[in-house]
Amino acid sequence: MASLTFAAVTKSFGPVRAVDGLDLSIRDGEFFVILGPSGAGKTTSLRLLAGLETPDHGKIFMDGRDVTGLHPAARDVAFVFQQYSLYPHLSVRDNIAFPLRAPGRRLPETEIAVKVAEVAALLHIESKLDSKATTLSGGEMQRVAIGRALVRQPQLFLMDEPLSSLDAKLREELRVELKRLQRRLGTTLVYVTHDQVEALTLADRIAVMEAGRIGQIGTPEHIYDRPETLAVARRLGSPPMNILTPAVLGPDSSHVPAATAHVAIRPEDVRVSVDALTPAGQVFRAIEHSLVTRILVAEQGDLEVRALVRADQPILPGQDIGITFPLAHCQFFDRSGNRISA
Amino acid sequence: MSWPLKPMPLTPVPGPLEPRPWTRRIAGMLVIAYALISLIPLAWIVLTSFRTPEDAISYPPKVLAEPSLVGYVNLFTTRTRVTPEQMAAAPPAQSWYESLIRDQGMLMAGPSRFFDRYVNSLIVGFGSTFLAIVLGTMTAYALSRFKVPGKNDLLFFILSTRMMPPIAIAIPVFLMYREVGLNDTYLGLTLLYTVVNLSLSVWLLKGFMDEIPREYEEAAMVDGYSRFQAFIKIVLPQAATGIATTSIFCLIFAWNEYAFALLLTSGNAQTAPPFIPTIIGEGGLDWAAMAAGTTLFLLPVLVFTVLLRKHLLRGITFGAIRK
Repeated sequence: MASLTFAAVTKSFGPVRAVDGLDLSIRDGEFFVILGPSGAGKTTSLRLLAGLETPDHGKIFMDGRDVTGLHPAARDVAFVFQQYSLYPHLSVRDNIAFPLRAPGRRLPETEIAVKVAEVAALLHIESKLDSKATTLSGGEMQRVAIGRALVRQPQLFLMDEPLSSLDAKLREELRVELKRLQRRLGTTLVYVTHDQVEALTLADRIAVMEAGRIGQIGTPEHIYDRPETLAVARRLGSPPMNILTPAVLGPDSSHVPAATAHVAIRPEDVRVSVDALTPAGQVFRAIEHSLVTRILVAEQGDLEVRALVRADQPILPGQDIGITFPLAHCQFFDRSGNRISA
Repeated sequence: MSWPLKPMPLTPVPGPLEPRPWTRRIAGMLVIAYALISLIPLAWIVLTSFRTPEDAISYPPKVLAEPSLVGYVNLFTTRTRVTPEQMAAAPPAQSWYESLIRDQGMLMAGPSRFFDRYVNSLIVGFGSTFLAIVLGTMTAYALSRFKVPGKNDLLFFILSTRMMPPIAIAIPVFLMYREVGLNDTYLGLTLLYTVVNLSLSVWLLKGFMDEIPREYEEAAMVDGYSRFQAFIKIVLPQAATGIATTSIFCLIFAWNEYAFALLLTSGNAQTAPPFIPTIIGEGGLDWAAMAAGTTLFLLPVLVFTVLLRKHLLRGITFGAIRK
């Protein structure tokens, strides 16, 4: 178990600043998720923690100890990679036992057998122990990869999109299992993903990363409810947050804070009136509506709005509807995309 | 359109890119014919090695003749022709091969140097292959994984050593070797073959190394291994196919090399290729013995390739990857 600190860490690859002056503290025992699009520097941050990359500037601390120049083998962290996760020439058993046979650790074989069996039971892969790693399905491979990380009981788990190559059903299953495991072991876990659902469900705290910098850090609720920038607002929520102009508020637009350039509102907070005769609020034209996902997409000129609508009958494409945006649920951002505190 | 509609044919129609059955058959026959034609000289050598020296040079040539081991016996022995009186005075033959020699009107004088030359070939061939592979694997790994200043120039330089036929530097090498005392030594010939093979082995192996994802070593390093240990435990097994392929190429070159062996070795470290053509019988070359030497000479590369075929056939698949 360990707390982690990045102090002004910068890492460039040629002209690209993958990580740009990163300052970040991760608490002991935390399930910490770094969320961001590809190229945001998430994976580089993780590799810096593992010692697979060395920062150009800045320092990294684990439990207050400077580990910036330490070899990966000396850091006692476990890494679950997105792919290429297993050693293909070894059996599942040998894959899981591999870290226990490392020169610095070298446990007796009887102890290794016990530990491997424990981990296999935990991840439900007992029946696969003697298979070659190459014969497993994707989900089994990732389980084994997680098993290889668990078996050592390291100071720190690092996971780089461990579920992204799996299909949706399996992803959800393993996600729940991961969360349960981390709760039980209480080990600090840093998890990188571009999937906001994973981030929102797994994390104790989330750091939203964009172009090598951190946009916002906070609990999932905090980030979801009070995004600090438009970029963060766009990243979380499915369907994504509506980003509109103050004009759509109609008569309410006089109440928006000065300097407001963008009004953002979650689809679940948008009110829709289907009464065709006297539509309340702004008139939009429906584009599509699904009774299954309950998502309504409507437009007014260039503006496109998404709303969650529970209805017995679908709203027909082309139908005119009234939409209101309750002021209490609106969030305001200035021209450069920063939140205006109301 | 015709009506009523005809039923769909039940036999699957081959796709446009799939070879038709008759194309396959013709291709198969061509391959077999080519294989047979290629095997004729080989078969001739093996057949000749089991003939008597007389049958081996008979005209018109005999395709099938009484099998005989005289060629092999002559290959491994030296003999002297004796008068019938001397033959009668000699003690009785001790073994089957002595009898075979006496049937030719000769007495065995001692073993020939073929066995020594063969062992020399094994030492130099496998030794230089081993060195070329060890050095090549490490060089290829370094060039594949690390930032090496001037990497591309270095790679081109390594390749460029192959652009000139090695024999073009025969005289300088000979003079150099004479100066430093490497003439007619195992070390001299082994080093020379290693150097010639190294460019091939570095280039081939670098290709294989590039195919091995770095994540494997990185995972091993995070798991508590040093880079060198990760190289031994993870990279080498992954590169087995490449190492097998490359070592076969290296062995074939070192095993068959004739010109330098002829030039640089004589009494001590001479290998089989320059020795075999010097097997002299009475009144001309002993073709049966020479064919026997050639047949035995072919075996090691064959055996080596067969032993490594598992790795060759496995191909370059890294199965535990999900993309």
